[in-house]
Amino acid sequence: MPHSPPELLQKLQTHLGQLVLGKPEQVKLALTCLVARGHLLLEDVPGVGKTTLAEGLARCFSMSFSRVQFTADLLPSDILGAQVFLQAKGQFEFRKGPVFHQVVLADELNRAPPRTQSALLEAMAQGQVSLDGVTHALPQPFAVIATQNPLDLSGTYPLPDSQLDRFLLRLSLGHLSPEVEAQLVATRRADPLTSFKPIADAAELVALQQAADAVKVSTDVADYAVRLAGATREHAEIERGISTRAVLSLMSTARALALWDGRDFVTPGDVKQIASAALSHRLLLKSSTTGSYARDEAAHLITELLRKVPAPR
Amino acid sequence: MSGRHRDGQPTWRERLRRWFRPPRTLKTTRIGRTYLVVTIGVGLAALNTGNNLLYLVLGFLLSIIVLSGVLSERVIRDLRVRRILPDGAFAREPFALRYEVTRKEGRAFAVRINEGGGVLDGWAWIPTIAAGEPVVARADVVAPRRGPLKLTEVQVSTFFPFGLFEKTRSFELEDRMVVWPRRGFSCEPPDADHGQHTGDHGNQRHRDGSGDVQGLRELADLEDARRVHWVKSATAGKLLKVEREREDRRQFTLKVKTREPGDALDLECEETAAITHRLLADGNDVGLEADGRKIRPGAGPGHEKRILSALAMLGYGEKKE
Amino acid sequence: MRLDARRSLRVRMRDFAAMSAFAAVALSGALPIAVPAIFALAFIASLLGFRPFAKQPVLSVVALLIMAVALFGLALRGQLDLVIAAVSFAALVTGQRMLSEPSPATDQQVLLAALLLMAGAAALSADIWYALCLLSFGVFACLSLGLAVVEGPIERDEELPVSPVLRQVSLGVAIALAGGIAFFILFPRLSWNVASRRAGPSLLGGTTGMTDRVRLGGGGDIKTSARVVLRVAIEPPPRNDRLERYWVGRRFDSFDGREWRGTGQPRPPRPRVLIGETRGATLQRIELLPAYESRTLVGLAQPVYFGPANALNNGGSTAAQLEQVGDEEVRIVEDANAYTYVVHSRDDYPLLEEDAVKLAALTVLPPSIDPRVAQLAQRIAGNETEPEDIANKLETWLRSNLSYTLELPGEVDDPLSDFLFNRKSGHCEHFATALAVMLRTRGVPARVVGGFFGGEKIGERYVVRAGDAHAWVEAYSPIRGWMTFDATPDDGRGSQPPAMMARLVDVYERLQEFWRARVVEYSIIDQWNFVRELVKPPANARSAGSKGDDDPDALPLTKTPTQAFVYAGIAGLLVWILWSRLTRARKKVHPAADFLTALEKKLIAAHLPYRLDEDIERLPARLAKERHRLAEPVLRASRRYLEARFGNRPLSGAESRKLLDAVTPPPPAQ
Repeated sequence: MPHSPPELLQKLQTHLGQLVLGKPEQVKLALTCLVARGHLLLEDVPGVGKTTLAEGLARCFSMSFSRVQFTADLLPSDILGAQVFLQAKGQFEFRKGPVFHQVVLADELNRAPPRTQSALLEAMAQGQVSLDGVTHALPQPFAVIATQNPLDLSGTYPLPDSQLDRFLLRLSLGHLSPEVEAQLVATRRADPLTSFKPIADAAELVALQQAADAVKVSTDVADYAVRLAGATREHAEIERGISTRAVLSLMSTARALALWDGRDFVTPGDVKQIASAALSHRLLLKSSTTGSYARDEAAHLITELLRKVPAPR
Repeated sequence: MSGRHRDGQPTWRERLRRWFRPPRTLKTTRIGRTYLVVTIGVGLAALNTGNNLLYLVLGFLLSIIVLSGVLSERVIRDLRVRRILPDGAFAREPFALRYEVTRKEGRAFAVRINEGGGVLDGWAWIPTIAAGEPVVARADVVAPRRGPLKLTEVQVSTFFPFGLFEKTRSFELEDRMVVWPRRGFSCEPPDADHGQHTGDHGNQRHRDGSGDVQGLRELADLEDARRVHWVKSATAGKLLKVEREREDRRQFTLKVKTREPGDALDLECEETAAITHRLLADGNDVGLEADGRKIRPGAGPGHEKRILSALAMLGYGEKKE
Repeated sequence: MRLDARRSLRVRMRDFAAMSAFAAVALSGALPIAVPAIFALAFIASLLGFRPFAKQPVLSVVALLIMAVALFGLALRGQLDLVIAAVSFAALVTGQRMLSEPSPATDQQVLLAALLLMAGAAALSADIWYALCLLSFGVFACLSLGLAVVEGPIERDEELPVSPVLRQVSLGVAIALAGGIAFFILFPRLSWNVASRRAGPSLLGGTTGMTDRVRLGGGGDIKTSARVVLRVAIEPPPRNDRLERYWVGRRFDSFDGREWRGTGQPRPPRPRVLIGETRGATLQRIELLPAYESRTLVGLAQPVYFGPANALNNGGSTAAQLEQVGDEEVRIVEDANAYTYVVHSRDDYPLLEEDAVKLAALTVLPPSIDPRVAQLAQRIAGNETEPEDIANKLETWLRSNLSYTLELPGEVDDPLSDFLFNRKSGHCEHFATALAVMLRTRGVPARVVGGFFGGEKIGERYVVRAGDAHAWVEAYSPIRGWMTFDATPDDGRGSQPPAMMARLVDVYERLQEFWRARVVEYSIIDQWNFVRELVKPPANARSAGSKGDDDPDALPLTKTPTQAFVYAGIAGLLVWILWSRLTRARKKVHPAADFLTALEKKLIAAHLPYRLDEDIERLPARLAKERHRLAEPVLRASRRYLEARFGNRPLSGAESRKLLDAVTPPPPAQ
C-alpha cells in the first residue's frame, strides 16, 4: 500500500524507535539524511547504539548492508574490492568490496590510515569506484554511515576538515535518559536486530528522495540560508565559515525535512532545525581547542547565529 | 546551587543567618552615581526652598532607588547556575566558559555572570531568562597562568531595572579545570631519540602497524613473519606480506629541566608546549620527561592533551590522573 | 524584537521623556524664546532619525560651550535669571545629546539632563501641567532605561522579547509613583527656606488686565477668558448664585486723549488700610489666584477696610504689607504667587468731603479733545445741571445709541471721537471713557474705575473670572457724593466665554486648584492633619473636615463623571495611537506577514507568547506536547501561514479571518 511521504516517514520513525529507544529526534534526522541522499557521521562514545541505528536504517528499507570495522591495517582494497586472479578461469576478476552495498557502516572511521579513509570518501562522493581503469557503479540508493569516537584515543587519524564536508549531517546520540535506560535494561533480552523486519523497500526510499527533490525553496528562505552562511563567515570566532557546498547540502537536507510535514516547500523553521547538525562539523573555529569540545562549541555558535540572523516572516 | 549542607539540609540557624546576611553586594554604575548626586541635589534644593514640587521629584527619585533594589533582588534571587567547562584551555588565550542558568518562576533580565575570586576575567551576558527554560551563555575568559584552576564561586549580577545599580550575588560553585601552558615560541626542535630506549618501545618498527600501506607482496624467505597479512594471505592462498611506506616518523622525548616553580619553569613549559604542537603537527611522536615523570612518545590530539596537562601540572605538586 | 526596532523604540521613549521634561520648563513661560525653538528642532530631528552631531561631537560641544558662555554671561549681567540660565543650558545639553549617536550611555545622559530640567521646572512652575509632564517623563524615562538595561554592555543584534521587560518596568514605575506620592505626603516639611523663589506666570499668563493704565484701542480678548482670577467667601452670604456686582480694583483720574492713568502718590506701607466706616459692611475673604498677576486688591462695591493680607509662595505664606496709592488703589507690597486678604465693603458710598483741588483735577479735559464731544454732551444733557441727572441722561444715550463689540482692529489717532462718531461701537473701556469725558465737559468730576463685574458661585465660594474684567465710571455730586454709572450695554458687562470653553476651563481650574492646594501649598500643617486623620477613627475623620472651605475641591471630578469618562477616553485613545505607532513594524515584506502579526496578537491574548528560540513553526509542537486546547487551531493557522508565505499559496481574507477566529480563546468561565 503506497503511503504519502509524511506517513511513510512517521511510520519509519516509529518503527526505528522500537530499535533505538528514546532518540526520536536523532532517528528523524538520520532518516532525513537518507532521504536527502546524504551520508551520515555519528560521533559518539561506544555503546550508545550507533551501529544499531545504522543497521536499522538499512534493514527497514530492506537494503543490503555491510559493516566495515576500520582498523589501522585496513587497506583501501579491503573496502573497495580487488582484482583477484582466478586460477580456474585463468583470468583476473573484480571482487567487490563491502562498499558495494546500499548502506555501508564505516565503524570507527578515524582508526584507519588516511589513505584508506580517502578511498571510502571518494567512493562516497562520486557514487562509483574506479580501480585499474575500470569504473564500477555503486548500488543505488547508496549511503555511508560512519562512526567516530570523539574522545581522543591515541593512534587515531582524525578526519581532515575537508573530508568532513562530505558528510551531510553529523549527529551524536548521547546517553539515554535514566528512564529510557531503565526500560531498556528491564525489557531487552535478545539482539533486537534479529527480529527487526523491513517495512519499506529501496524503491520507496528512491521515491522519497525524488519527492524531496521536488520540494521548492522560496527566494526568501534561500536568502535566509545564504545570510546564515554569511554570518558564519563574518563571525569573529570562526576561522573558516561554511562553504557554498555546505549551503547547498543544508538546503537539500531542509528539503527532505519539509517532507515530514507533507509540505512541498521549505520554511525557515526547517533550516533552523537542521542547521546545527548540518553545519557544526563544517566550521573551523579560531579557538585553540579541538575535538568534541570544538564540535559543541560550533553547535553553540550556530545556535547563537540562528538567534542573530533574522528569519524571514 | 550554593550553600554547604550539613546532613543534606541546612539547619534553621544557617538559613536564618543566610537570610539576614544574604551574599549581596551593591555597586553604583556611572549613571547611578550621577543619579545619586542629582537626587541629593534635588533633596537639598527641596529642603532649602521648601518647594513642594521638588519634594515630589525627590520622592520619585528616592522611590526609584528603592524600586531598583526590590526588582533587582527579584531577578537574582531565584537562579541556578551551572558551569559548562571546556576540557582544557590555554593560559593567556581566551576560551569559552559557559554557564547554564535556570530559574523556577518569574522572569529575569539583564543578568551578567562572571567568576568570583578574581581567577578569571570576562563575563557572560543573558538578556532574559524565562522560568523553566535553561539558558546557556558564553563568557570569553582568559586564565592568567597555567596550572590547575580551582573555580570556587560564580557571581551573578544584574543592572535591572534601570541600570543605576549593579547588584551582585555570589554562588559557591566548585569546579576544577586544567589550564595548559600557552604555546609560546619554540626554538629549534631537539634531536630525535636514537634508540636509547630499551625493548620494543624505542624501536621504529614498534610503530609499524600504523604506517600507510603501500602494497602487498609475497613473503620472501627470512622475512619477518609478523609482516604477514593473514586475511589477504588466506584469500590469495599464499603468504602475503604488507609493505608499508617508509615511515618518516621520528620520535622525540622532550625534557623539562627546570624544577623550581617560577617564571623560568613557566617559560620552559610554554616552549615545550609549542615544540610538542609543532612536532605532532609534522607527524612525529612526542614524549615528555619532566619532574621524574615520563610520558611515552605518541601521537594524536589526545596525546597532545596529555602532554599539555602534564606540563600544566608541573610544579604544582599534585599528580593529575 | 530585533536590535534596530528595540533601539528606535528606546530612543523614541527617551525623546518623549526629554520632551516631557522640556515641556514642564517651557510651560512655565520663563525661558528665552530661542531655547524652545532650538529644543523643538532637536526633538523633531531626533524623532526623524536625523542626528547631525553623531559625526561632529567636538563641534557640537564647542557650540554648546559658546551657548553656555552666552547664557551665563547674560545671567551675570543680570539680564537673565540664574535658574533660567541653568535650565536653558540643561535644555541645550539635552538637545545636543539627543542629536548624538544613540547608545545606552547617550540615552542615560539625555535622561539625566532631562531630570535636571524637571528639577529646574519645579522651581519655575507651579502649574498642573507640571504634574502631567512629571508623570509622562517618569514613565517614558523608566521604560527607556529598562530597555537600555536589557541590551547589556554590548548591543547585540539578536531577537529579544521586549514586552516582558516593558511589562515589568511599567509595573515598577507604577509602584515607584505610589512610593513617590507616599514620600511626598509623609516626608516632614522642614524647610530652611533660604532661597525660595517665586514661581513665574504659567504659559497662559496673567490675564486680568489690571494694569496701572487703561489704553484705548486694541481688542478685548480678555472678555472671552474663563480663567478664575479670584475666589471669595462672602459674609453674610448673598442669596443669589450670580452676584452681578461691581468689584472695584483701581480708579483712574487722568486722561490724555488716549489712555487713563492714576496720579496718586503711594503712602507708606501698613499691615491694614482703613478707608471708611466698617459698620454694617460685607466681609469678604478673598484669594487672588496666580492667574490674577497683579498686586492690586479688589473689593465689592465700596471697599472701606482692607484687613491683614498674606502672600503665598511655594510652600508657605507670609504676612504682607499694604500700600495705599492716593484714592486709586490699595495694593500689596510684596511680589508673590498668590495672595489672601480680607476686605470689608459697603454698598453705599460714604459721603466724602472731597477737596476742591482734587475735584477740579477730575474735570480736566485732554488738550486734543474733539470739540464735537462737548457738543454731543451738551445736546444730550440739555439744560440739566444736577450731575446725577446729567450722568443718567448720558448713560442712557450711550447705552441705547452705541453698540458693544470686541472687534476693534487697528489704532486710530483719536479713539474717543472714532468711537462716538465713526465706529459707534466699542468695549467697556470706550463706554467708560466716553461717559467720563462727556461728564467732564459738563463740569461734573468723573473718573474711570477698573475692576470686575460679576461673581459666580462655585462650591462654597464665589469666583470671578478674567473675562469679568470691566470698566465703568464714578461721578461726584456735591449732594450725593460718589455715584457709579455704567454706560456699557448689558451684554458687554460680564464675561462672555463660550459655554464649552467655560466648562473646560472650569475643570482645568478645579484641577489646578486641587494641585495648588494639595501639592504646591502642601505644608507641615497639612501633614499634621493627614497624620491626625490617619490616627482618628474614620467616622470622626469625615466630620472633622480639617481643611474647611477647601473641601469641595478635594475630588474635583466626581461631580462630572461623564466628562471624566470622555477625557479618560480621549487620553486612552491618544496613548493607544502613540503606542501603536511606536510599536508598529516598520516594513512589511509579504502580505502573509499581516496574518502572522494578527495571529501573534491572538496568541499573546491567549497567553501563549513565544519562548526563547521559538517561532510560529515551533509553537504548535509545544502546544501539542502540553495538550493545550488551542494546539489544533494554532497548528492549522501556522501551516496555512507557512503555505501562504513560503509555499506560494495566497491566503484569502475570509480564510484568514476564519483561522484567526479559531485561535480565539474561549471565555475562562469553563
